[in-house]
Amino acid sequence: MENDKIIHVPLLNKRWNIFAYFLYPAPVFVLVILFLLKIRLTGEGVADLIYSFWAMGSIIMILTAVDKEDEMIKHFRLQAFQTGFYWLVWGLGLLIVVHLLGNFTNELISGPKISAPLVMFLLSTYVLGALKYQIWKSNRIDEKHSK
Amino acid sequence: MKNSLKVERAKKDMTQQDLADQIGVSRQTINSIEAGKYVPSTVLALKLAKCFEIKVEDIFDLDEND
Repeated sequence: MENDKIIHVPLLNKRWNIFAYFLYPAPVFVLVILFLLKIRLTGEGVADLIYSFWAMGSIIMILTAVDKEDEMIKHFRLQAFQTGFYWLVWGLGLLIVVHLLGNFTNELISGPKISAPLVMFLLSTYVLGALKYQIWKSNRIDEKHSK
Repeated sequence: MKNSLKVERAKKDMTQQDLADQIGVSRQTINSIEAGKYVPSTVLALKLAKCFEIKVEDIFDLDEND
């Protein structure tokens, strides 16, 4: 199974991280350019634009190889996808509840509109968070351990 | 899973980085295995045993939670 090309996930070169970091502030520049071109977006349009850029940045960071891509990192990445999906279910579930409550209370309670960019943003953020958390935990150098 | 990796490493007077370089993993991976935070694959366990010229079961053993 390990060599099956269909399920293989190719990883990006480490240099892609620089591009990913650029994508986080990029929506600000895009919004300024759109403003200068007198193209007006709705609030939801602005939110989707920001979510899209941040999701792209996070996805690139998730799929970028680390310095030493060994079996523990591969295990962390697999676990991150599982944990990220689990957190997404709870996050979206909460948003759905907020929307349902809004319907019952004549919109006194409201949450952000559930859109594809929002779901991508949440999923990529959760997966990246779970991956970085595991790497951070393994990087906590125990000097006593090291010799 | 408990292991005696740290003891075996000390016998050979190796640092975590030396061992990591020898078997092709990161120092963090060796540290995590020694701390019991990560259970290595069969391939990595065999590589570790080969490096110390002992059997896998001489390094790794089941504990009461396994």
